Amino acid sequence: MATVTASSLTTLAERILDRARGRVEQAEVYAFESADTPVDFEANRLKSLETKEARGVALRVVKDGRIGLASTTKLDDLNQVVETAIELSAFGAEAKFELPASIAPTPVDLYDTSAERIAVEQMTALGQEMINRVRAYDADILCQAGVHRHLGTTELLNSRGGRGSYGKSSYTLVIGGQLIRGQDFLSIWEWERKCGTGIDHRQLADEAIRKFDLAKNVVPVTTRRMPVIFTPRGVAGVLLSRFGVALSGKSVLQGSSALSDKLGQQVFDPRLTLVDDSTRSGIPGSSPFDDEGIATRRLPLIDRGTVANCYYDLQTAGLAGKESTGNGYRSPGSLPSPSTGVVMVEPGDQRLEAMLAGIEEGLLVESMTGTFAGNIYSGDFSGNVHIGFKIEKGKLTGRVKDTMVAGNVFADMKQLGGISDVAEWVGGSVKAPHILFAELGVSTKTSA
Amino acid sequence: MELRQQMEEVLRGHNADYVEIRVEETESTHLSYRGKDFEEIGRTVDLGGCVRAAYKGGWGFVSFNNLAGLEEKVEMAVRQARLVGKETTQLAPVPVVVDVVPLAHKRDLLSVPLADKKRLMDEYIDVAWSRSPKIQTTNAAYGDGRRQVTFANNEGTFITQERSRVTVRVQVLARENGNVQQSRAAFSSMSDYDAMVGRHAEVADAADRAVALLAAQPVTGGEYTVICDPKLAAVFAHEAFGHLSEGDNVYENERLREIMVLGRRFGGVHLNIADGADVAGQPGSFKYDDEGTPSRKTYLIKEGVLVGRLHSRETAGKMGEAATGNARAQSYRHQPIVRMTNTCIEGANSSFEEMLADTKLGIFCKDWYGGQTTHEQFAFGCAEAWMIRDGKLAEPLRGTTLSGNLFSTLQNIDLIGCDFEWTESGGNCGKGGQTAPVGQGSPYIRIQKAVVGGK
Repeated sequence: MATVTASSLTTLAERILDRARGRVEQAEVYAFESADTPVDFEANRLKSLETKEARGVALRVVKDGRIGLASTTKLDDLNQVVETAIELSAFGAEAKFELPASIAPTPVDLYDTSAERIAVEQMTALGQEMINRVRAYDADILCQAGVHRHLGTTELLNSRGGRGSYGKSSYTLVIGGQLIRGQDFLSIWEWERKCGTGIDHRQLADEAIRKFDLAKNVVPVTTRRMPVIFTPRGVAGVLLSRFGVALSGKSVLQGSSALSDKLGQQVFDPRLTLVDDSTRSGIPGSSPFDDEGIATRRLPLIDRGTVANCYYDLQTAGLAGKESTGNGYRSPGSLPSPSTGVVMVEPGDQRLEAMLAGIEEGLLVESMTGTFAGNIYSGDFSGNVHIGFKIEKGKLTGRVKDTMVAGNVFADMKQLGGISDVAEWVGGSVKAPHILFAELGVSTKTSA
Repeated sequence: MELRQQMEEVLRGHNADYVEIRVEETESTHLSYRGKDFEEIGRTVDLGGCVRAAYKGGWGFVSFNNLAGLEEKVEMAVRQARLVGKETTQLAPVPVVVDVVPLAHKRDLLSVPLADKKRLMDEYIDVAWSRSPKIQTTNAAYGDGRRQVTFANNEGTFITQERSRVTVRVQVLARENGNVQQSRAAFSSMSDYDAMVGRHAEVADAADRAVALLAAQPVTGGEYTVICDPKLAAVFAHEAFGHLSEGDNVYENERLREIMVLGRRFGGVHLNIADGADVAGQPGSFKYDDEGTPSRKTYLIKEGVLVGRLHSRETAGKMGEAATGNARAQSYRHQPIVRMTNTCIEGANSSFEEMLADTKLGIFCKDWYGGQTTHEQFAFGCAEAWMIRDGKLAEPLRGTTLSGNLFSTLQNIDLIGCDFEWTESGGNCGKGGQTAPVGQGSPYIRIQKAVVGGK
């Protein structure tokens, strides 16, 4: 399959910039090109092969001090995108930034040629092998799998002289399935994403098998406050989004952040360190610079329990009288806004086994549903345990069902029960250890 | 060359069971505010297309922005399908249609000056801020868009459909000490800009609700009798039952087919759940789905009994049922998958007042912030909630989440109101990496023994 051609994308971006230059104070062209090859398996077998090619540009201008934005994938009429951006700038917000006059990319390796080289036939074989492995464990599991390859190029040019581009590859393996027994539905999913093909597909399938095995036994749980361990996936899926919202420069500026008045204060367990770090090679969530050309960096958000930093893009930083932290990310149709890149929770000092051993009755939570619902600003979370296991006398005894866990991320992390000594990658943008809450509200259905 | 002629030409003579092409162009404008300040205005034009081919039950799919070389893209999709297909392609038959479905708008969204749209939003934001010094901030957004999709397949169907939508959303955050609470007003129309105008009282009400939530206490988790307002009940129908009725979840899943066997009783005789895109003016409304199948109303549950499910041509074909017009794609970048359109619980004979008076201890849950299902289990967040004590609304609650097991919960709906309404702004449903606008409607319902999450 053809790789993405950076040169023509550059030409396109330059042509748009040339048309805007001279008519506005500042102009920036964000251009992207990508080719995706998803190989998908449904109901235990190959279902479809896809090729998705995408290409588009976004133009941000500052005219008379105001910001206008237009984006298009209709690349036969470049004048239209320029005229629209200028027209809209008359209504736009006041610009509080200067685009970077040069872009100094952070050295980070994100294009792995192994992803480019892998043949569709190999991808198909890998997917089928994962499915066969799970079905060899239990043929009643209805499996789905995916082997996805993404190759992309991002190009950034601005009228002040800044220019940069980078390629990124990502390779994703997904294996999982559904096991229905009576009216009991069990769905287990394992997935991993890296820039290259170095993901152990057998290990991924075995992890799915391990969870299916543990989950087959459904055990009751009591409604009361009890210790709850979140697995790395649980940490990523349930807890981190609350920090993301609270520490966004935008929330701080608006006064909607529950942590904005705590900057510099130790309000969390001293073992808790949370870092935004998009400089990790081989991790698809990384990038050499953000979507407005500011170099990425390692930014501590929570440093040993202390609220250390909020994250900013150029405009939000300008409004707040701060500096951009290299966190200006965007979709092509939107202006950049503060967003985290790769988020890492530092490991602690407890072995997972020791953590479990100290629990008389508790839960190990892998995923929850409905947690996006509650009030994300307040730190409250509440949801149904999707995949979670009962801990009894230090041992995992089976899966819990019809069980809800609720708490407040900020209040309940003041003092943690513990943090495990190993952090694991979750997908392509989070690395986290197991986190133990000494006590959270657990409620369960007592009758049908 | 004219698009129709071009599409028909490249669709001819392929060694595949089925080939279709979609070409899509959208134009959308958005305005957004951060607090009182205007933050962003942007316009997006998106032009692209896709080809999908089936061969012996396998699918190939190619999407692109560059419309040149359509012939080779068709060939590529066919080649991919042929690599996959080893069984048989079974597509339920649908009529060959040649049709043009123009916009049904009352007032062209694009003809309304941007300055008017901005002024309207400025007014709403002022109203929200004027309600209380405890208003911490607002997040407001206006969006409108127009989408034209041209569909052609090798059976001779050729359809051009144009749709539009305008939405206004004002989210209000209130704060007292460290406690932050939120509420929102959301308006939407498929056809009429004027439906967004003059709704200041509803924005004021949203602000007042956010402030009121500051005094609300977290609910004590456990099992309760719960009354849901029409908005929340409609989400329940969507999340809890709608997804399980989607043919793609069922057709290759022997166990689920046994559970979802037509004729099985799921609830009382007062329970009727239906889905259909053939309702005028709802977010999930259209004349033809993304496989060219005409839309229609499908009863999922009638008088408590499972009577139907939602299908694409493939899931219908494989199950020996009729296509229902539920194959939808978010855009040309995606293959159509089985989706709900406008899903509702139909009205019965009770009323909110009767439900309340009949509830000694329970919770009244109103509106929602999102929902999710894992087939048998569902969970959604309530925007507002109150304890019910001795048949009357008592203290307000915050952070209330409702969850449960689908099968027992449907059986436990003991009262259904006569006061049916569609939720104006509908919702956006995510599935398989695609988002689709959906309509949702219901009357008030009462559920016995629902699990409510809290401290």
